[in-house]
Amino acid sequence: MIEIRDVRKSYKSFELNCSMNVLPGCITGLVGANGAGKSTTFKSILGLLAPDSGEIRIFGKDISELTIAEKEKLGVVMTDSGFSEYMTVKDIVPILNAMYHAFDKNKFLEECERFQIPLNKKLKEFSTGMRAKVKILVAISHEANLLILDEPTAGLDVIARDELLELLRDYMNNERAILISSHISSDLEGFCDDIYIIHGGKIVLHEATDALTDEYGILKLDEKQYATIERKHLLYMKKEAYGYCCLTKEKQFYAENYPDIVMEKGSIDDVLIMMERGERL
Amino acid sequence: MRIILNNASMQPIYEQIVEQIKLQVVDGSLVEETPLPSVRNLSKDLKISALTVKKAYDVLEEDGYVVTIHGKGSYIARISVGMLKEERHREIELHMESVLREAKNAGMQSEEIKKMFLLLLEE
Amino acid sequence: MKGLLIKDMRLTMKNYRMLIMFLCLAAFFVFSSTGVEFAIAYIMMFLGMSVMTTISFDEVDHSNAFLMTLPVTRKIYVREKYVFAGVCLLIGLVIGDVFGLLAQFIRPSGDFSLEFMIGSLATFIIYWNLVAIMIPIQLKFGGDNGRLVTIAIAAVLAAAIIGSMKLVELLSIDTQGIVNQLMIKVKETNGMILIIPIAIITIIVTASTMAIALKIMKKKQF
Repeated sequence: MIEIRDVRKSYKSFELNCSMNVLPGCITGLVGANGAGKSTTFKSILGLLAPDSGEIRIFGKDISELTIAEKEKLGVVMTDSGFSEYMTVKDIVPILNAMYHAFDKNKFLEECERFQIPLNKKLKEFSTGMRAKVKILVAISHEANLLILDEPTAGLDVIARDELLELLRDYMNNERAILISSHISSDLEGFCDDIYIIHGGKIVLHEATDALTDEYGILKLDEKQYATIERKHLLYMKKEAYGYCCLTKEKQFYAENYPDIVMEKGSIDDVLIMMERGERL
Repeated sequence: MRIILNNASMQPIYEQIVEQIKLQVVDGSLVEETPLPSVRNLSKDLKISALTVKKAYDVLEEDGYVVTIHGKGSYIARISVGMLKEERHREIELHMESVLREAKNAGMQSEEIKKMFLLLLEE
Repeated sequence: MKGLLIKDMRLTMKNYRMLIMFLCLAAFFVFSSTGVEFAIAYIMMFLGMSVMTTISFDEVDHSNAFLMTLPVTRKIYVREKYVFAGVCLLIGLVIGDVFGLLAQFIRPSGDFSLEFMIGSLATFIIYWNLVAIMIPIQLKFGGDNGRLVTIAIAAVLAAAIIGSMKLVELLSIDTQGIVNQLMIKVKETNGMILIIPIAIITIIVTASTMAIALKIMKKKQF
């Protein structure tokens, strides 16, 4: 439902160059450190930034060619932008009603009540958590088929995060798709079908989530082990105080041939840290 | 149907699902023609990716434990006792292969291995 | 566009305290000796500015980025601002005329007449053109800078007018004569003769400022 090909955008200190696909029925995650290019990518997809080159298609069309009706099928959450802070939820309801044919007013108000969202308070008086909840509820209130969510769970405590991810899981079906970015990797691991890792403006990894946990592993080695181990399948190395940490995609190989070596299951966080602070082998 | 996943285990999640369903079929708690939950529903309930569930279902189908009727869903297949036996035998064979590999790695000779095996058999 | 209009209306109503205050002030002007014309100008100015305020609101907490992801296009966004401005000024016109009528009842001084209504319509047109010009300026330069730029443009215009007046003096063109003749014509046709040129100017101003505003919006990155 989203296709990005060779999109480039140059800034003074940073260059974005990425390609991505989001397929119907899939939940795709985008992870990366702050400043790695997540927001730039999202803004390019949404037509808020014009890339220097490359193609971006939503629902098969360039975003600027989407009709109003097609835009109604989009649900968006952004970190630093939303309805004006001076509005209340009560103000927002008639606006949504006028803009989206499929807006379900009663359901929306029910969900607001369920999450204890005050209807008459100005958005600027909301806590971070409440704000995040409202944004998500708005995005899923009008039968959108594609959700583009930029850090929707930022600032939420673990219980709220769990509730909201469950809300999103229930919302999914085989015709819908979600593109979600986060720097809380654990949220994405149990939620996304596939993950893109972006680093320095480039996509450095794209795997199905279960490949990450099933095939990737972190080896913990001492000097001797590091010196003698078969390095062919090691991807990254990081020197620790008392030894070495290595990332591999061939967990099975090392598990079978070096059964004594300490091996941990791969996780998004581990991969990120290794890529960010380790050496490529 | 009962599925408990161990996220910290080295065993891939899809394998855990496959194993647990197989076990329940073998011990009779999952009867033939029992409908399996849809891929999406199971992934929601287990809080895992839909792809992982699909992988598990595909493996179960390949191994003959599950039958998918297009448009209707997946069901527990008719399992013949003979097939179960064959399956177990295959698994045991794999175990033996890996033990042999380890033994070789440890430097044991074929004669030593045979001797050890026969000793264990007699116990 | 409807959704955007609702949004701008609700945002403007947030300032209801100020609105009530200004209405009272306007009423005061009308019913006191200051005169209705001043009141009308005051009402129009206030209402015309509300469109600028909505543009500021959109900008200040980056809500315009989010707005662009809603089912609206940049074209609709620009158009809605003009529609909103028109509606606000129209409300001002109606309020002005109503006040004038009321003032007539309270102090019948023959002020309220066709001339009065034409006068208020003229004020409407003048303010409409002013607001139409300010919209693209505000969109391009943002809240505070926009005001500065508008003042700068006003200053340049004033200088141009003074300059051309001096030039006319220098060339000893009989401007007074021309103006007198024009005034006679206007009085004859009860102001109708001015309608066509004014209508043409208004249409040109509206169309061109809208096009410029659209261009600015299309280029905008968030």
